[in-house]
Amino acid sequence: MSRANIRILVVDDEDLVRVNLTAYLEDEGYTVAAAVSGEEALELMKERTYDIGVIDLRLPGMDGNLLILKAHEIQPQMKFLIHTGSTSYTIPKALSDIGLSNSHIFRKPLVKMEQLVGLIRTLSE
Amino acid sequence: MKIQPKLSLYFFLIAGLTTMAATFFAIYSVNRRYENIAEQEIASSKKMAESIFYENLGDLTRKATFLSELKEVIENIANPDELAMALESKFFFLSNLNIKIMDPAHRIVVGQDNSTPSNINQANIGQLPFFHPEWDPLLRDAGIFQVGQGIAIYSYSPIVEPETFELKGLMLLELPLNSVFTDEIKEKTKAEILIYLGDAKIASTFMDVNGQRYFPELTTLGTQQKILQSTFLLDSFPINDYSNRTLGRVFVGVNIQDIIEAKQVGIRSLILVFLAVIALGAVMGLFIGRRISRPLLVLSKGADSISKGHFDVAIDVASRDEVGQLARVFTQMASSLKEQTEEMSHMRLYLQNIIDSMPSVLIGVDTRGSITQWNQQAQKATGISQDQAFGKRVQDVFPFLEKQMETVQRAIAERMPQKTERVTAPVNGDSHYLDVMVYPLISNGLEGAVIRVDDVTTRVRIEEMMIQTEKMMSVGGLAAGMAHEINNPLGGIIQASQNVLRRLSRDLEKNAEVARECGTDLDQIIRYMEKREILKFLGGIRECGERAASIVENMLSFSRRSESRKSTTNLAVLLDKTVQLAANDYDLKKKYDFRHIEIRREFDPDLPDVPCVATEIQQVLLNLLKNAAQAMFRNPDDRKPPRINLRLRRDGGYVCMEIEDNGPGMDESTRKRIFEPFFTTKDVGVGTGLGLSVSYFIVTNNHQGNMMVESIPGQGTTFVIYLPLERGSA
Repeated sequence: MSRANIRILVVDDEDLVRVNLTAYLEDEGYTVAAAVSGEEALELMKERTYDIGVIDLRLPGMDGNLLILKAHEIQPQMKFLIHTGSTSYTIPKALSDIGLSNSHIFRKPLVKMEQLVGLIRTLSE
Repeated sequence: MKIQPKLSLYFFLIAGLTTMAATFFAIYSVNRRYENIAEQEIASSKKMAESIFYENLGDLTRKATFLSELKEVIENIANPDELAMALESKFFFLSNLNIKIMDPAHRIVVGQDNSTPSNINQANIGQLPFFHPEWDPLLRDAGIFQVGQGIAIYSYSPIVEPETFELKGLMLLELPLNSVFTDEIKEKTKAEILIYLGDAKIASTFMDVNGQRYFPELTTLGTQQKILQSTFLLDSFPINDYSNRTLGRVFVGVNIQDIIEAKQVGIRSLILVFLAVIALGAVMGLFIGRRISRPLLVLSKGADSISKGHFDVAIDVASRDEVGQLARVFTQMASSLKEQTEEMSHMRLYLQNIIDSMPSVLIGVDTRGSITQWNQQAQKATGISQDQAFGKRVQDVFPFLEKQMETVQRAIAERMPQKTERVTAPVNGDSHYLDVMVYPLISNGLEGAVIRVDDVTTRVRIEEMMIQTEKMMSVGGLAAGMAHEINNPLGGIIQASQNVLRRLSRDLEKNAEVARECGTDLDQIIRYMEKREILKFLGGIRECGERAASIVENMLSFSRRSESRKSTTNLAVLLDKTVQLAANDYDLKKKYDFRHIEIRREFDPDLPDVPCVATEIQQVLLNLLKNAAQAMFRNPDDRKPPRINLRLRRDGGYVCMEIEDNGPGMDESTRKRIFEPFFTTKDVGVGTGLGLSVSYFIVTNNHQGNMMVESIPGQGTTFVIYLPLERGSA
């Protein structure tokens, strides 16, 4: 599958972070959409499917965890990465039940975005 | 002087003096008695001799009268021969008498022949004083006269014809006072008789050894005189003549030799008795002295042994007298003393035990600072025994107390306890903190003070550590709060710079594409960027962002709990791996060649695995190894090859890791702050000042362990890490 066919949804309320991730992943050849909040993300998911979600945890409105659970209900094939500024966050039971693990967590600041691409490649294969 | 000889002497003196007095009195009495006997004897002998002497006077008159009246005499007066014969044959008693008969013409008719040793003869008869020229036929007389050399008693009686009273003659009797006469007296009186007329020695009853008459020279009358080996007591009476003239003396001598000898025997016996009594007295004195002194001696010995502390003596004096009573009192006293002493020593032991059980060093001193009390802790701290310490000055034993002696004096003077906290003193090569308290001794007038020294090093270290932890926790809390807020913009900076650089690189096809769409050329843009060093600035932004991110990351570890990632780890293996890592560390290799450092390992082979986050512990160890290497190379000492000692051992419920270098060490102020975040001794930019604080946090917070540093400037530094073998609950 070519990278352009892989659809990534970036959700982050911080503009620069969202724009950076989007730009980097687009430069890597992925098709990327972005949302400022969980609600907006769910709206986008109603219109089309996404393969990968890069989710910030602290979001206005619903938080990243809830967003992942809801997104999983809508599109169960979708895989998720967590991009968080929290230092103490670990995967809660509800998320590990749908296949997430601590290796899916990227802590901010993510100095080398190549790491992100590495996991996306693994998940999308 | 001891009591026994004293008593003996007293008794001896009393007995001796008494006996001596008694003996003297007895001797005096005996003397008197014998003198009396002698005096009585001489008196009676003299009296008897005197009476015999004068009896003879009368007797001679009676004899003369008797003879003149004899018929044969009257009838034969004309026939003197027959007359003489008749007288001689008939009158034996006249043997010692000289008989002279004279006729009326004064012619001696009988006794003129001198056949007897008479003094009187025809020539000297006229000298007789009572011899008158005319004889009275009735007159008779007698007297003592000295005629010529002799002395005699003379008596006369006229011879008268009884019918006619015709005077026919004169009868004259002469009794010479010679030795025959004295022998007669001696026979009656048993006393020796002497008749001396002045110098003329007339008669004597003394006979010398040859049977010759002996006439002793008389010295003082009435006294004793030695005559012919015998002692005589002499007395005398005078011989008076007719006209009462003293012609000489009759001496009466009583032999008192026997009396003297008897007296001497008596006195000798008395002296013997005296000596015997004295001897007996001495023996008795000794005996009594011993008898009295022996219990006293036993008592004294008992008391002596009591005074030496042997209270178990039973003073064995059986007597019921005062000494016996005293002995019993002493024995009782000893047993009560023993009880009290035991109680006292028990009390003292108890108190000593209390003092010794104190964890503090307790030193008693007098006002001059000499040691009077020394507890076990003091002994332990100095290695100086109690006996060695007594009397020494405190500062000689504890040199660091030199400065405290003023405090001691002040405590004594003001009677107020003084306290000096955290005095630093070297103990076994380490620097220790000591609290010194001085309490003045104010009771019972005993001047001095008690110095109490507590080693508060551990407490001080714990306090330091708590402060450290507190600091770190506050940093951790702050960091956790800040991290989230900083990380987002930091992420923006870093990722944006990454994107900018990517979008200026030739690697992305899209970059050239977009450049062309904009009517320019990517190469031109890059050239411009390079020329203006914009790419370098961008790289700088990125690098600085990354550095800031790593600082935040490190700070975040202060609040991070990593319990879930702990796994049992073999620390020996981990340590070896870390050493290898350090040796290959590029940064390290650049400046300090780790291979030049000698690594010594002292690993306990039976060490159990330790539950820990291996990566974190490795981070800690690497940090310490790097620090050690840097420290040793920063101050190279050529004479001292760099060396790191690694030790692993079990210590109770902990495993103890030690990393010791022989570098320059650090001073006290550095050591205190070494774990503080952002504290660094390295040049600005070389270290963040977080390495050791993060290590500290990893050990103490994440692993519930302990981390300490010990250092002696100039000798080296040792980091000690304790990790618990049991998983902590936190």
